[in-house]
Amino acid sequence: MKIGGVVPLIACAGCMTASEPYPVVAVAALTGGASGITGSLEILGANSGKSNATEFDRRTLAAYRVRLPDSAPRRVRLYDARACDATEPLELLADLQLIRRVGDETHFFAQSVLVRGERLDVDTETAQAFVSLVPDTPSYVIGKIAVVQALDRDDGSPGAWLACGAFASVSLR
Amino acid sequence: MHRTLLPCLVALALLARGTARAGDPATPADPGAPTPPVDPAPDPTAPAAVARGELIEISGSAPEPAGAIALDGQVARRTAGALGEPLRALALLPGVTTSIAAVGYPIIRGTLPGESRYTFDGIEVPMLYHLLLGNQVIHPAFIGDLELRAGGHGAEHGQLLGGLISIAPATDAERTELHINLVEAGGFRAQRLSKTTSIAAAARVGTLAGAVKIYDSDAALYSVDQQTRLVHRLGNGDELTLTSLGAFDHVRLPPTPDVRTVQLGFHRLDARWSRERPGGGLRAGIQTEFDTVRSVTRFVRLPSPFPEIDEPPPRPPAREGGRSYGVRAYGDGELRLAPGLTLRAGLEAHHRTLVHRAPVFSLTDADDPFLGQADAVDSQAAWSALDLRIGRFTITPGIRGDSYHVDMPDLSVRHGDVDPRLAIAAELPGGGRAELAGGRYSAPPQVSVIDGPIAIGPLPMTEGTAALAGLSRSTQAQASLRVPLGAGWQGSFAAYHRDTDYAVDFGMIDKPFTSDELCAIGDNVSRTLAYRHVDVRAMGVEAMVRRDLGRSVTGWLSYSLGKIDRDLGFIRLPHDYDQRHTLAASAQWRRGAWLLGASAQLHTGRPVVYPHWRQCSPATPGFAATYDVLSEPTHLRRLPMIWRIDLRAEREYRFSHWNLRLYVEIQNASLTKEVLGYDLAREFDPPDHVTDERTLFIPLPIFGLEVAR
Repeated sequence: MKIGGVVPLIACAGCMTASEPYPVVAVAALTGGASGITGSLEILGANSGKSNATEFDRRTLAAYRVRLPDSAPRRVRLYDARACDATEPLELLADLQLIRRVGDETHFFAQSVLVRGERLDVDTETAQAFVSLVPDTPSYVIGKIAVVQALDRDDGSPGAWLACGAFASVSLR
Repeated sequence: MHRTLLPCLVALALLARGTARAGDPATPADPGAPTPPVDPAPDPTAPAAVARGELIEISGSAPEPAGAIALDGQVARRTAGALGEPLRALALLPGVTTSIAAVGYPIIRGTLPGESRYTFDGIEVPMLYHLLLGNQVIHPAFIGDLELRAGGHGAEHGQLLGGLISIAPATDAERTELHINLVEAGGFRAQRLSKTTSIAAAARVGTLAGAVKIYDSDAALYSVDQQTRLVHRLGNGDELTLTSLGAFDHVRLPPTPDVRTVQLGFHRLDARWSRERPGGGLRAGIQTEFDTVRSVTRFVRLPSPFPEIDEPPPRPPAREGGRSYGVRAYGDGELRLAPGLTLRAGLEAHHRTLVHRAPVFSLTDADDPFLGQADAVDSQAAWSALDLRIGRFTITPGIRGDSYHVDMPDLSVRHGDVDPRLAIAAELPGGGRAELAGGRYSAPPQVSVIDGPIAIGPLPMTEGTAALAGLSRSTQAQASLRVPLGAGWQGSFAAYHRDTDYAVDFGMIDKPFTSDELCAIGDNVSRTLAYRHVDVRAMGVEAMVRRDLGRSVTGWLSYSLGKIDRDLGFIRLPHDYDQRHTLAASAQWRRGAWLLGASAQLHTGRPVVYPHWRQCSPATPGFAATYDVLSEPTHLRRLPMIWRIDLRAEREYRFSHWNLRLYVEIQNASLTKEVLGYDLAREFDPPDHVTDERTLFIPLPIFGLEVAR
């Protein structure tokens, strides 16, 4: 047990200390060139005691450390491709919907949620997608690319690529 | 009332009662209790501790603060509708309701039950009822007074956003009690072991095991609990207290054919030293904690209809939950610095190790790491408050610091907060009391499990869960007034405001939003949960009139008006327990050997999700019509107003050395159906869909007998 933390807290009346760590098992470092989008998209660990190296499973993704140049929404998708310069039609691994800047963080937003008959983009902070962290299994995501895109065009086709990065594993703790 | 003063006043009150009891058939607080023997031996703690010449007012019981409501445990136990369990009587107090009628988890000013705290003599009780929904885990005879403080807690209380229910131990007057009813049998004994040592012990066992075996020989249902409290007074007036509380349940569900076994229980062992002096007091203690919530499902393979095909290997048992072990050390005290100026302060450190697998309560079904369970929790707290008495006013500024370190499967998190508190109490002319209290309050996420209409909490093995999401923080203020109305009547009034930013709102975990539209075609449908960073604002007024104990008719009438909203950032919704009007009344009437009781509750409906649906295509020859149904959190409808009457009758037979009490109680004697929610039902003639009310109808009779001496 640690008792030392109490004394500085008393001296800090009215303030708070709060760390915001979260478990990260894979990171896609985004490079966006002229778009000004940088930072990293992160796949979070389950934090439930079960192995993080599981096959096709629902995982939480965070964009807290993605830096956007403005508050405009962008779309994030994961593609089954190993390089950001891939040109052929790419297979979609997951559509993570929107990211937006919220304060000094970037949050995921669920798009077009029905709220009392109106469609709203809802701040969910994180997004969830079914991907695998086991090599040679369907939807294996390590080495595959995450792409930040402009919003879909009016005809429904995906918007232009603004930033891209490939996921790399990170060991926890 | 300062907790550290309570034992001293109780001792003084006991002395006073003991003198008054000589020749009296029963004490006013427990009209049915047999006459305890009068101990002529002087209590070493009481007169010796009083400074010569100091005036001490003995009123028979410690005056309760205006911001709290005290309820005698024996009155609570005999309240109609409580089923013999004092905790259930709390639902009749102002500001309190329950998720459904038969469930005894108090929803205090709209906070989920897991956000409130239940303590026995300062020891936190991690579960309230056997099998989560059964009888309470503490023997009713072991309970003295209950005190409900719905908000505005002082600096001595931390990690708390909801209400505080403090259960005081029963007095140490010698008595014995045996009882049996349809669901349990138990015994209680309080005895003086010497002039300086007394012990109280209770144990109960569930009686449904046999009935369950008859229903299904492969099923099992066992529940036991025990409580022991040993008090030893030292020659210098100090007191040593050893308290043991424990409850354990074992359930084997009827095979499906898979066999699921669930174990649930806790134990607390608390050793405490306390010293009371006119100039102050000290208290120090250490507590061990053990919790278990385990579920094991053994999969049974049925004979294959295709024996020629090789069978897959057998599935290993699915194990959920586990055990946790903890230790808590605490110390607090008060020191009179000057006339009218008292300093109070305390320290606390707590460690808990949790050994578990997947959570039993499906909390991480969402695979959200922010809802992860803890492997270990360390918390420390320090608090201080100053009681400054100026004339009729007592001003109590306080401050509290809490620090948490939570070890989780994938990482560790650390949180801390400092919360200022302030209370101003006034003694009014004519014996009234008033209080303004409030401050800032913080706590790690506190789990409540929402299963359909039922909200359950607190739960063992959930400490540290969702700590990754951060602390919930609340700002509270309440104004309270209590005035004597004459003829034994007392009136109390309270108004409150509470604004809480929940790190995790467990009430929103089962309410997904959707992008789906009725009859829409396409598979690009998203489901969105919004349970993090939810702002809940509650405000209301409460009023209560009650008649003192010791009269032939005693009871109370309470009314609560509340408004509770959830702000999700993108929409504001009424809270699940936004019950605007709640009216409750309870009365006990003693006439000779009979004790008759009745309780009534009336509350306006709370909002629930109301499914909406549409016919997508009409029926055509050979094809049925198709329908689509949506249940989303913004489409709400208030349940109809509900009322209920509970009745109780008790007959006492007195014998030379013992009493026999027979009682019958009927919960929901008004035969009222409670609407729990709305479902979509299909009708065939003519073919159509209708929205149907999901109802609960439990007129619950219970019979029992108590033998006491």
